[in-house]
Amino acid sequence: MERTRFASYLADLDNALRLMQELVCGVRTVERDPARLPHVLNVAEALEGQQPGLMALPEALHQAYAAITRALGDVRVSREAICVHAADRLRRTHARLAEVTSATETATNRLLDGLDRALEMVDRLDGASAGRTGEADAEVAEVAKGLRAQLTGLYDILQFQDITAQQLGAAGDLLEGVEQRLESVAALLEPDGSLEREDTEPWRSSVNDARASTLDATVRQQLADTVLAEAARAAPPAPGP
Amino acid sequence: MKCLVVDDSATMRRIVINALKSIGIAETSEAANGAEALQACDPSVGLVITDWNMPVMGGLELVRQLRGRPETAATPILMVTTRSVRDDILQAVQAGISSYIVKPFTPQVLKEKIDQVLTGAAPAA
Repeated sequence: MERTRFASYLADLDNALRLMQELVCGVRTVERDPARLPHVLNVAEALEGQQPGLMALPEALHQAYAAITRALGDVRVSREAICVHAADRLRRTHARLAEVTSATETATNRLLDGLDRALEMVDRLDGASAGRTGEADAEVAEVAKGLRAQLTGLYDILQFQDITAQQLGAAGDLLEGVEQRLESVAALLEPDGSLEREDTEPWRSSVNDARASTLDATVRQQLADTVLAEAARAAPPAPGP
Repeated sequence: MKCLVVDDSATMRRIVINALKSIGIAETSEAANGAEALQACDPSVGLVITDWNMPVMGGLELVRQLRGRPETAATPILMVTTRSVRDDILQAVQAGISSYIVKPFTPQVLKEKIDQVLTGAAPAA
Protein backbone atom coordinates (compact mmCIF):
# COMPACT_ATOMS: atom_id res chain seq x y z
CA MET A 1 0.00 0.00 0.00
CA GLU A 2 2.79 2.42 1.08
CA ARG A 3 4.84 1.39 -1.91
CA THR A 4 1.95 2.23 -4.29
CA ARG A 5 1.51 5.63 -2.64
CA PHE A 6 5.24 6.43 -2.96
CA ALA A 7 5.31 5.24 -6.58
CA SER A 8 2.45 7.62 -7.29
CA TYR A 9 4.28 10.54 -5.60
CA LEU A 10 7.46 9.79 -7.52
CA ALA A 11 5.51 9.69 -10.82
CA ASP A 12 3.95 13.08 -9.92
CA LEU A 13 7.36 14.50 -9.10
CA ASP A 14 8.83 13.19 -12.33
CA ASN A 15 5.92 14.64 -14.31
CA ALA A 16 6.20 17.98 -12.50
CA LEU A 17 9.90 18.27 -13.25
CA ARG A 18 9.25 17.46 -16.91
CA LEU A 19 6.49 20.10 -17.10
CA MET A 20 8.73 22.62 -15.37
CA GLN A 21 11.45 22.05 -17.93
CA GLU A 22 8.89 22.44 -20.72
CA LEU A 23 7.62 25.65 -19.09
CA VAL A 24 11.10 27.13 -18.83
CA CYS A 25 11.81 26.30 -22.49
CA GLY A 26 8.36 27.68 -23.48
CA VAL A 27 8.92 31.00 -21.67
CA ARG A 28 12.21 31.41 -23.53
CA THR A 29 10.54 30.83 -26.93
CA VAL A 30 7.49 33.03 -26.31
CA GLU A 31 9.66 36.14 -26.82
CA ARG A 32 10.47 35.02 -30.36
CA ASP A 33 7.16 33.31 -31.09
CA PRO A 34 4.21 34.84 -29.18
CA ALA A 35 1.93 32.26 -30.81
CA ARG A 36 3.32 29.70 -28.37
CA LEU A 37 1.91 31.55 -25.38
CA PRO A 38 -1.30 29.46 -25.14
CA HIS A 39 0.78 26.30 -25.07
CA VAL A 40 2.97 27.72 -22.32
CA LEU A 41 -0.11 28.64 -20.31
CA ASN A 42 -1.43 25.08 -20.71
CA VAL A 43 1.84 23.73 -19.38
CA ALA A 44 1.69 26.09 -16.40
CA GLU A 45 -1.87 24.95 -15.70
CA ALA A 46 -0.86 21.30 -15.87
CA LEU A 47 2.02 22.00 -13.49
CA GLU A 48 -0.34 23.62 -11.06
CA GLY A 49 -2.47 20.48 -11.20
CA GLN A 50 0.47 18.42 -9.91
CA GLN A 51 0.75 20.47 -6.75
CA PRO A 52 -1.66 18.59 -4.43
CA GLY A 53 0.32 15.35 -4.93
CA LEU A 54 3.68 17.05 -4.49
CA MET A 55 2.51 18.83 -1.35
CA ALA A 56 1.82 15.43 0.21
CA LEU A 57 5.35 14.18 -0.56
CA PRO A 58 7.16 15.78 2.45
CA GLU A 59 4.55 14.34 4.83
CA ALA A 60 4.90 10.92 3.23
CA LEU A 61 8.69 11.10 3.54
CA HIS A 62 8.34 12.07 7.20
CA GLN A 63 6.07 9.07 7.82
CA ALA A 64 8.49 6.80 6.02
CA TYR A 65 11.38 8.07 8.16
CA ALA A 66 9.36 7.41 11.34
CA ALA A 67 8.54 3.89 10.14
CA ILE A 68 12.22 3.19 9.38
CA THR A 69 13.25 4.48 12.83
CA ARG A 70 10.69 2.20 14.49
CA ALA A 71 11.89 -0.76 12.43
CA LEU A 72 15.51 -0.08 13.43
CA GLY A 73 14.42 0.04 17.07
CA ASP A 74 12.74 -3.37 16.68
CA VAL A 75 15.88 -4.71 15.01
CA ARG A 76 17.97 -3.46 17.93
CA VAL A 77 15.66 -5.21 20.40
CA SER A 78 15.79 -8.43 18.34
CA ARG A 79 19.57 -8.26 18.20
CA GLU A 80 19.84 -7.77 21.95
CA ALA A 81 17.42 -10.64 22.52
CA ILE A 82 19.58 -12.91 20.36
CA CYS A 83 22.85 -11.82 21.98
CA VAL A 84 21.71 -11.70 25.57
CA HIS A 85 19.19 -14.49 25.80
CA ALA A 86 19.92 -17.07 23.11
CA ALA A 87 23.69 -16.81 22.56
CA ASP A 88 24.50 -16.30 26.24
CA ARG A 89 22.33 -19.23 27.27
CA LEU A 90 24.04 -21.43 24.68
CA ARG A 91 27.44 -20.28 25.95
CA ARG A 92 26.49 -21.14 29.52
CA THR A 93 25.16 -24.56 28.50
CA HIS A 94 28.37 -25.22 26.57
CA ALA A 95 30.42 -24.28 29.64
CA ARG A 96 28.31 -26.60 31.80
CA LEU A 97 28.88 -29.50 29.43
CA ALA A 98 32.63 -28.87 29.62
CA GLU A 99 32.36 -28.76 33.41
CA VAL A 100 30.54 -32.10 33.50
CA THR A 101 33.19 -33.66 31.25
CA SER A 102 35.97 -32.31 33.43
CA ALA A 103 34.24 -33.51 36.62
CA THR A 104 33.72 -37.04 35.27
CA GLU A 105 37.33 -37.15 34.08
CA THR A 106 38.59 -36.13 37.52
CA ALA A 107 36.30 -38.65 39.21
CA THR A 108 37.35 -41.40 36.80
CA ASN A 109 41.03 -40.69 37.41
CA ARG A 110 40.45 -40.90 41.16
CA LEU A 111 38.67 -44.21 40.67
CA LEU A 112 41.60 -45.42 38.56
CA ASP A 113 44.02 -44.32 41.32
CA GLY A 114 41.93 -46.30 43.78
CA LEU A 115 41.92 -49.32 41.49
CA ASP A 116 45.71 -49.08 41.06
CA ARG A 117 46.15 -49.09 44.84
CA ALA A 118 43.68 -51.97 45.23
CA LEU A 119 45.58 -53.98 42.62
CA GLU A 120 48.84 -53.32 44.51
CA MET A 121 47.17 -54.77 47.61
CA VAL A 122 46.09 -57.81 45.60
CA ASP A 123 49.71 -58.17 44.44
CA ARG A 124 50.78 -58.12 48.10
CA LEU A 125 48.18 -60.76 48.96
CA ASP A 126 49.46 -62.86 46.06
CA GLY A 127 53.04 -62.33 47.23
CA ALA A 128 52.19 -63.30 50.80
CA SER A 129 50.55 -66.56 49.77
CA ALA A 130 53.05 -67.45 47.04
CA GLY A 131 54.95 -70.66 47.65
CA ARG A 132 52.81 -71.64 50.63
CA THR A 133 50.70 -74.75 50.52
CA GLY A 134 48.37 -74.29 53.48
CA GLU A 135 44.61 -74.36 53.05
CA ALA A 136 44.30 -70.75 54.21
CA ASP A 137 47.00 -69.65 51.73
CA ALA A 138 45.19 -71.40 48.91
CA GLU A 139 42.03 -69.56 49.86
CA VAL A 140 43.90 -66.24 49.97
CA ALA A 141 45.30 -66.94 46.51
CA GLU A 142 41.83 -67.79 45.23
CA VAL A 143 40.32 -64.64 46.74
CA ALA A 144 43.17 -62.54 45.31
CA LYS A 145 42.57 -64.00 41.86
CA GLY A 146 38.86 -63.21 42.07
CA LEU A 147 39.56 -59.70 43.34
CA ARG A 148 42.00 -59.07 40.50
CA ALA A 149 39.39 -60.13 37.95
CA GLN A 150 36.78 -57.88 39.55
CA LEU A 151 39.13 -54.91 39.69
CA THR A 152 40.24 -55.38 36.09
CA GLY A 153 36.58 -55.48 35.06
CA LEU A 154 36.06 -52.14 36.80
CA TYR A 155 38.90 -50.63 34.74
CA ASP A 156 37.07 -51.65 31.58
CA ILE A 157 33.79 -50.15 32.76
CA LEU A 158 35.51 -46.79 33.16
CA GLN A 159 35.80 -46.55 29.36
CA PHE A 160 32.36 -44.95 29.62
CA GLN A 161 34.11 -41.72 30.64
CA ASP A 162 35.99 -41.40 27.33
CA ILE A 163 32.86 -42.24 25.33
CA THR A 164 30.55 -39.87 27.21
CA ALA A 165 33.24 -37.16 27.05
CA GLN A 166 33.17 -37.48 23.26
CA GLN A 167 29.37 -37.35 23.21
CA LEU A 168 29.34 -34.25 25.43
CA GLY A 169 32.18 -32.71 23.42
CA ALA A 170 30.25 -33.26 20.20
CA ALA A 171 27.15 -31.68 21.75
CA GLY A 172 29.35 -28.75 22.85
CA ASP A 173 30.70 -28.39 19.29
CA LEU A 174 27.13 -28.28 18.01
CA LEU A 175 26.18 -25.57 20.53
CA GLU A 176 29.26 -23.58 19.56
CA GLY A 177 28.24 -23.79 15.91
CA VAL A 178 24.70 -22.59 16.70
CA GLU A 179 26.14 -19.81 18.87
CA GLN A 180 28.37 -18.63 15.99
CA ARG A 181 25.41 -18.69 13.61
CA LEU A 182 23.32 -16.64 16.03
CA GLU A 183 26.12 -14.13 16.42
CA SER A 184 26.33 -13.85 12.64
CA VAL A 185 22.57 -13.18 12.50
CA ALA A 186 22.93 -10.60 15.31
CA ALA A 187 25.77 -8.94 13.38
CA LEU A 188 23.52 -8.66 10.35
CA LEU A 189 21.06 -6.75 12.54
CA GLU A 190 23.71 -4.32 13.84
CA PRO A 191 22.12 -0.83 13.82
CA ASP A 192 25.46 0.75 12.86
CA GLY A 193 25.24 -1.11 9.56
CA SER A 194 28.22 -3.33 10.14
CA LEU A 195 27.01 -5.86 7.61
CA GLU A 196 30.52 -6.61 6.45
CA ARG A 197 31.24 -8.85 9.40
CA GLU A 198 32.35 -12.21 8.11
CA ASP A 199 30.08 -15.17 8.52
CA THR A 200 32.46 -17.52 10.30
CA GLU A 201 32.23 -21.25 9.73
CA PRO A 202 31.27 -23.15 12.87
CA TRP A 203 34.27 -24.80 14.45
CA ARG A 204 34.25 -28.46 13.60
CA SER A 205 36.07 -30.71 15.97
CA SER A 206 38.16 -33.65 14.89
CA VAL A 207 38.44 -34.74 18.52
CA ASN A 208 34.85 -35.58 19.37
CA ASP A 209 32.82 -38.34 17.80
CA ALA A 210 29.13 -37.40 17.87
CA ARG A 211 28.21 -41.03 17.24
CA ALA A 212 30.31 -42.42 20.10
CA SER A 213 28.23 -44.92 22.05
CA THR A 214 28.50 -47.27 24.98
CA LEU A 215 25.80 -49.47 23.43
CA ASP A 216 26.00 -52.48 21.09
CA ALA A 217 29.80 -52.68 21.18
CA THR A 218 29.67 -56.37 20.24
CA VAL A 219 27.55 -55.72 17.13
CA ARG A 220 29.80 -52.84 16.08
CA GLN A 221 32.91 -54.94 16.67
CA GLN A 222 31.40 -57.66 14.46
CA LEU A 223 30.91 -55.10 11.69
CA ALA A 224 34.57 -54.04 12.03
CA ASP A 225 35.68 -57.69 11.88
CA THR A 226 33.54 -58.28 8.79
CA VAL A 227 34.92 -55.22 7.00
CA LEU A 228 38.50 -56.26 7.84
CA ALA A 229 37.89 -59.82 6.69
CA GLU A 230 36.42 -58.58 3.40
CA ALA A 231 39.36 -56.24 2.92
CA ALA A 232 41.83 -59.05 3.66
CA ARG A 233 40.17 -61.29 1.05
CA ALA A 234 40.11 -58.49 -1.53
CA ALA A 235 43.68 -57.28 -1.11
CA PRO A 236 47.10 -58.48 0.01
CA PRO A 237 47.46 -58.72 3.79
CA ALA A 238 48.22 -55.54 5.71
CA PRO A 239 51.81 -55.11 6.88
CA GLY A 240 52.59 -57.30 9.83
CA PRO A 241 55.57 -58.66 11.71
CA MET B 1 57.49 -56.54 23.38
CA LYS B 2 56.93 -52.83 23.89
CA CYS B 3 53.53 -51.34 23.06
CA LEU B 4 52.98 -47.65 22.29
CA VAL B 5 49.54 -46.48 23.45
CA VAL B 6 48.27 -43.34 21.70
CA ASP B 7 45.16 -41.57 23.00
CA ASP B 8 44.40 -37.96 23.91
CA SER B 9 42.46 -39.16 26.95
CA ALA B 10 44.82 -39.90 29.85
CA THR B 11 42.04 -41.99 31.38
CA MET B 12 41.78 -44.12 28.27
CA ARG B 13 45.56 -44.60 28.11
CA ARG B 14 45.51 -45.88 31.69
CA ILE B 15 42.65 -48.26 30.88
CA VAL B 16 44.39 -49.62 27.76
CA ILE B 17 47.69 -50.01 29.61
CA ASN B 18 45.95 -51.86 32.43
CA ALA B 19 44.20 -54.12 29.92
CA LEU B 20 47.59 -54.81 28.29
CA LYS B 21 49.07 -55.69 31.68
CA SER B 22 46.18 -58.06 32.36
CA ILE B 23 47.03 -59.96 29.17
CA GLY B 24 50.75 -60.04 29.88
CA ILE B 25 52.11 -56.98 28.05
CA ALA B 26 53.83 -54.93 30.73
CA GLU B 27 56.23 -52.82 28.69
CA THR B 28 54.39 -49.78 27.41
CA SER B 29 54.94 -46.16 26.40
CA GLU B 30 52.39 -43.39 25.87
CA ALA B 31 51.61 -40.52 23.52
CA ALA B 32 48.71 -38.04 23.61
CA ASN B 33 48.37 -37.56 19.84
CA GLY B 34 49.73 -38.67 16.48
CA ALA B 35 52.56 -36.14 16.40
CA GLU B 36 53.84 -37.25 19.81
CA ALA B 37 53.50 -40.86 18.72
CA LEU B 38 55.70 -40.30 15.66
CA GLN B 39 58.42 -39.04 18.01
CA ALA B 40 57.90 -41.91 20.45
CA CYS B 41 57.73 -44.70 17.88
CA ASP B 42 61.31 -45.93 18.03
CA PRO B 43 62.52 -49.36 16.81
CA SER B 44 61.84 -50.87 20.23
CA VAL B 45 58.09 -50.46 19.70
CA GLY B 46 56.60 -53.73 18.51
CA LEU B 47 52.94 -52.72 18.53
CA VAL B 48 51.05 -49.43 18.24
CA ILE B 49 47.58 -49.04 19.71
CA THR B 50 46.02 -45.77 18.63
CA ASP B 51 42.80 -43.85 19.03
CA TRP B 52 41.32 -42.12 15.96
CA ASN B 53 39.94 -38.79 17.23
CA MET B 54 42.82 -36.76 18.63
CA PRO B 55 43.95 -33.14 18.43
CA VAL B 56 47.13 -32.04 16.60
CA MET B 57 47.34 -35.27 14.60
CA GLY B 58 44.62 -37.90 14.53
CA GLY B 59 45.03 -41.65 14.44
CA LEU B 60 44.31 -42.01 10.73
CA GLU B 61 47.09 -39.62 9.77
CA LEU B 62 49.41 -41.33 12.25
CA VAL B 63 48.79 -44.69 10.55
CA ARG B 64 49.53 -43.18 7.13
CA GLN B 65 52.74 -41.57 8.39
CA LEU B 66 53.93 -44.74 10.12
CA ARG B 67 53.25 -46.78 6.98
CA GLY B 68 55.24 -44.25 4.98
CA ARG B 69 58.37 -44.66 7.12
CA PRO B 70 60.52 -47.68 6.24
CA GLU B 71 61.31 -48.44 9.90
CA THR B 72 57.62 -48.59 10.90
CA ALA B 73 56.05 -49.71 7.61
CA ALA B 74 55.53 -53.21 9.00
CA THR B 75 54.81 -52.37 12.66
CA PRO B 76 51.44 -53.82 13.70
CA ILE B 77 48.92 -51.04 14.35
CA LEU B 78 45.65 -51.50 16.19
CA MET B 79 43.05 -48.76 15.88
CA VAL B 80 40.92 -48.51 19.05
CA THR B 81 38.09 -46.06 18.51
CA THR B 82 34.45 -45.14 19.04
CA ARG B 83 34.02 -44.85 15.28
CA SER B 84 32.16 -47.85 13.95
CA VAL B 85 30.61 -46.81 10.65
CA ARG B 86 31.57 -49.02 7.70
CA ASP B 87 33.10 -46.12 5.75
CA ASP B 88 35.28 -45.18 8.73
CA ILE B 89 36.50 -48.76 9.12
CA LEU B 90 37.27 -48.95 5.39
CA GLN B 91 39.18 -45.69 5.59
CA ALA B 92 41.28 -47.10 8.42
CA VAL B 93 41.92 -50.29 6.45
CA GLN B 94 43.02 -48.26 3.45
CA ALA B 95 45.35 -46.20 5.65
CA GLY B 96 47.06 -49.44 6.68
CA ILE B 97 45.80 -50.58 10.09
CA SER B 98 46.45 -54.17 11.08
CA SER B 99 43.25 -54.51 13.10
CA TYR B 100 40.34 -52.50 14.45
CA ILE B 101 38.76 -52.47 17.90
CA VAL B 102 35.54 -50.66 18.74
CA LYS B 103 35.25 -48.91 22.11
CA PRO B 104 34.18 -49.97 24.67
CA PHE B 105 36.27 -53.15 24.40
CA THR B 106 37.11 -55.99 26.74
CA PRO B 107 40.64 -57.27 27.46
CA GLN B 108 39.57 -60.50 25.73
CA VAL B 109 38.90 -58.67 22.46
CA LEU B 110 42.16 -56.76 22.85
CA LYS B 111 44.09 -60.01 23.39
CA GLU B 112 42.37 -61.69 20.45
CA LYS B 113 43.26 -58.84 18.07
CA ILE B 114 46.82 -58.52 19.36
CA ASP B 115 47.39 -62.26 18.94
CA GLN B 116 45.93 -62.02 15.46
CA VAL B 117 48.18 -59.18 14.28
CA LEU B 118 51.31 -60.57 15.96
CA THR B 119 50.87 -63.99 14.40
CA GLY B 120 49.83 -62.53 11.06
CA ALA B 121 46.61 -64.52 11.11
CA ALA B 122 43.86 -63.38 8.75
CA PRO B 123 41.09 -61.52 10.53
CA ALA B 124 38.04 -63.67 11.13
CA ALA B 125 34.66 -62.19 10.29
